[in-house]
Amino acid sequence: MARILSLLFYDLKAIWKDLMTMISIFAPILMALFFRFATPILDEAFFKGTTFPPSDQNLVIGLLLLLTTPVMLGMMSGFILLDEKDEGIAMSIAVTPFQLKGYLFYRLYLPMIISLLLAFPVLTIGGFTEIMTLRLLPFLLLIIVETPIIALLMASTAENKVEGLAIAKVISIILAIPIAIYFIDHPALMLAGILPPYWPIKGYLLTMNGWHLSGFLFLIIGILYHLLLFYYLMKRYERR
Amino acid sequence: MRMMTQIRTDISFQIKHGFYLAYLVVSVFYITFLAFIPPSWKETAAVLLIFSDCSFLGSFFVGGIILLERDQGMIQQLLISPLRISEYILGKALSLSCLATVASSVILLASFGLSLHYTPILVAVFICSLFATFLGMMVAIRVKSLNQYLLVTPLFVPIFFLPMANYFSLPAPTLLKWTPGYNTLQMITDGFHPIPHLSLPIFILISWVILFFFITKRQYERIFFKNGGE
Repeated sequence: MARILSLLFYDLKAIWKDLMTMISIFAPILMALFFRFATPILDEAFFKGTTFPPSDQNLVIGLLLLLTTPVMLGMMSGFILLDEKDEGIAMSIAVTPFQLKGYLFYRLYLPMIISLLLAFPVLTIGGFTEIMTLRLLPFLLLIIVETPIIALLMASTAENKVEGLAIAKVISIILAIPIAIYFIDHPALMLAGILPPYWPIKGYLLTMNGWHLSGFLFLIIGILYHLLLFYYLMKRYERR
Repeated sequence: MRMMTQIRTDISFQIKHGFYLAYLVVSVFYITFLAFIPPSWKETAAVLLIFSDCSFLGSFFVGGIILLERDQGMIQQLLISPLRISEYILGKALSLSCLATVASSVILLASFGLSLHYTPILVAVFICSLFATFLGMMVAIRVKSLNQYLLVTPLFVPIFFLPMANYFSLPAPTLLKWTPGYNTLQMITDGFHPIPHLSLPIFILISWVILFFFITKRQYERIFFKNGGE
């Protein structure tokens, strides 16, 4: 009886955690709704007459929203991985037929798929439909890879949830990338290339007027950089 | 004396768990960002960064601290330790407010040098951070996990950002002028362009902090004595 109750307890806990993941889906939608109403008000009261016209506001805020979903879901997955590492769940699953790879597949790819599915509803609700072009697709596929990269970075670097929080704070910097790319016109911005989302976002902006060599280059370097980071972090997590 | 020991312990805990290192990285990023954005946007960006990030960092970090200490049974141990609940609460708030103030000083000094009036800005950041940490503590003791904390806090912390509407001269109810956010923004702005009658914002801010301290203390006492922090 005690064993059954114990199993039931863990199952309910897992459902609760997944429920929290589900709730986190609504956060980007809420943000999109907020920006739908806030963008015209801000434009009227603050940006009017400045060098930040409405079309550019939509572009920057739209890209920011697009990046927010994988970042948020990546952080949530990272905290769940840390939680399950603390409780020894990851180790227990590793010795079952499900194996560590199966466990990671579930924990990393599911939020990534959710990020992809959310991308277009978020842009539509936010009113940033002009970004939704076929040209966005390769860059979007790269942006959603931030989800497992963030989750693995947190789970492989932090010792516990509190350290995970400190890392999450640092990770949140990447949300400023669309704003920084727009406002900063300086070669030193290339240093931001160390942050993975720099490549798809800058690449997308470079192809605004059609595909050029530079756009392709940013896409290819972005793919290679993301793959390399993913592989390195996966190995690091497995070692720990 | 016991209070000072508690603050030192909390700061050591925060350093050990990478809070200071994390905020150093964030500060370097903000300094770089402020160095390169067009001068016409620099002041607005700095005011908003200091207000929304530094002043409210306590509400972000304190959730993790409380939840970890609860999981490790440290909160339950409070009942048998000589440390008072008020000292425990104040230790967290004062130590995180130190981090907020240090981070703000570093960002502003590196970006604006000595051209600002630092006293009102740093006083505002320190007091607002106390308020934000109490707010975070009130939520942290009620939630079950860090993810839940991170999902719940963004639902109401942005309410305290509403006074930014006044900063942007947007139509906003005058009631916002009595909120901690509005008065923090007033004091931060004062550091850039001195404004008269600063005593009222300070008075309002301190009143909010005292009110939230007592609410937090009462809530923690009730929970601790009811079920030992479980």
